[in-house]
Amino acid sequence: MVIAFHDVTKIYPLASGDVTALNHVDVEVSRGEFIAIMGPSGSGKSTLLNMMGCLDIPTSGDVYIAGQNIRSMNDDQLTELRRDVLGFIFQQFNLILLLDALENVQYPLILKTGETGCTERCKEVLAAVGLTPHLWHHRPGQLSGGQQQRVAIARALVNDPEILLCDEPTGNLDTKTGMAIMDLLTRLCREQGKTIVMVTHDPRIAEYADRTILIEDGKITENGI
Amino acid sequence: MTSHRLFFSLAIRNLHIHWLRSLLAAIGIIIGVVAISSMGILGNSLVLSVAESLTDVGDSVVVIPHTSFGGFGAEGTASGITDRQLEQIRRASGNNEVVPVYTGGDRIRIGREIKIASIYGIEPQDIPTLLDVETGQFLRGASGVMIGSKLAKDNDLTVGSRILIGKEENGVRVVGILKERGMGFDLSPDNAILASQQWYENFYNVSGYDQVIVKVKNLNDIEKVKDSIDAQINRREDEVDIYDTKAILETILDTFGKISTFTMAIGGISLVVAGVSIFNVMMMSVMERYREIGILRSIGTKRAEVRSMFIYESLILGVSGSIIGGILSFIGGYVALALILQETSYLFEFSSFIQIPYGMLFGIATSILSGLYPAWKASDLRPIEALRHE
Repeated sequence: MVIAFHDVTKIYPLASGDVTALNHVDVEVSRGEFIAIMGPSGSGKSTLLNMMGCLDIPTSGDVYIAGQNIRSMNDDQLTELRRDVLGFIFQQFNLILLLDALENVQYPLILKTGETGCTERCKEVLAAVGLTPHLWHHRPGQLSGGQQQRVAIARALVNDPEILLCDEPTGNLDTKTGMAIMDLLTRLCREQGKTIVMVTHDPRIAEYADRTILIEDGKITENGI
Repeated sequence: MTSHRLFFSLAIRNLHIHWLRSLLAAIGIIIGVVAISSMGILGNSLVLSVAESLTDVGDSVVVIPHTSFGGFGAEGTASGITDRQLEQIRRASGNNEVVPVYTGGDRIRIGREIKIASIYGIEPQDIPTLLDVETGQFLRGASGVMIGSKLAKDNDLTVGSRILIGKEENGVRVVGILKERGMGFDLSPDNAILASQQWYENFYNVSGYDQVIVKVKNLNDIEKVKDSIDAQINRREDEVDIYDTKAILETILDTFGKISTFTMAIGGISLVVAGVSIFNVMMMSVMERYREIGILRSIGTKRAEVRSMFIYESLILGVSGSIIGGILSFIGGYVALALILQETSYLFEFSSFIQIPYGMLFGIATSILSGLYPAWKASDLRPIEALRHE
């Protein structure tokens, strides 16, 4: 299992009372699987994804990412896990506005290797996600939504992670571009064996996945549609 | 390029995007550095200029008649140092030169001009012990006088000129002009007339010496000589006051040094203000970039790396502001010295010039300190919360 949740509970203490975002959840994801997580707003699907991304730690229970229990890891170790094993693809693209497309892709690679003579790898990945070379030195503001998402996918892929975590990856794109991005993700899963976990509202997008997990009020109601 | 070059480049780009507020923060540092450095230069130059005009004579013990003021039954006594006391001083001073001096002032007439000048009466053979001659010769006998360099210069006096002293207009001839020496705590001869002891005694009604100067050969003995004279003469009651010129010189220079430090501290206040400004800019930068920090953290940037990015920003502001400030301090210091002291050579003295790197170091340190909290704040953000920030 590349991702495993064992009896995971997450409680957010708020002034108005504690909110249970995840309630004794068990999830397992195998290597190379393409999973969609669906559920209404506030159901806990983002919390689930954030925990897979080591951005949040459980109140109780254990979360294993690539075989490592994240509860026993310190901040630097979690950061390294995010950098080396995980790739994030956000709805808002979340590119660094100060950097151009190529530099955005280079950024995680420099963090990992400490070297910048690594543009070849970045160009290779940018080409693989279908961004034409004349756009490589454009800043995010000069790119369309689809182009930005391709850069974001390239950034997520550059360190060759095992797992891609996608939070509504087509949420800010028109249908046609959304489909193209989904085709790209599916190809990454099928051809490169990446494990993909994707949160989505859209059942048509969820159809791309091998398996869909439904979550409501912090509990998994269906696992494996 | 290592990852640090990446963060450095991000810092530069961010400062560049917000160029106006970056510029204002840097100007704050520039003003601070200029204030602290030029105040330092000015203060130090003041000390140098005082030290220069005060003469470097710091090797004498000066004995003057004791003067008591106020108190019941006490009255000012200043009847002069007697021959008996002089003998005691000689005994107490060992093999050091002891020079008794009469000191007074009188009106003098040079040509048609009437002025006031100090007049010293010293035994001719003792004069070379205390002073140097510039032109002419030392006094040999009772007649003739030597004069200070400033008195000579201001009144166009040369060897052979005639000066009329006192109401009686007793004529004396200048036999020598003294080398410039600056103000001293024993003698201030630059604007004075130096006559022989015999001439002085004949001309004025004297009751004792006004001061006795002990020229101490070994500087380390000054304290010993002082104590020994005190023990000899002031055994029963205070008959004489004893000063040591070295201590006075040190006290005065120390006082000016403190004034100089004080003015620098005033300059330092502007640097504090600059620090607050950098702090403000950095905090704004952190708050505006919550989301960006969240992105950076989520894609694998460690806390220390986020911290270094913000420290670089404040460092760039500090270093660039300090370099420009350093250059302006040099110019500012030069102008201030030219205007206030009319002497710019002090700027190139090591003790003055060093104020510029000092000021720059303070500027850089201030900017780093001001950037520490914002940098820590940025790195301490939880990535998930930072990501949610709109």
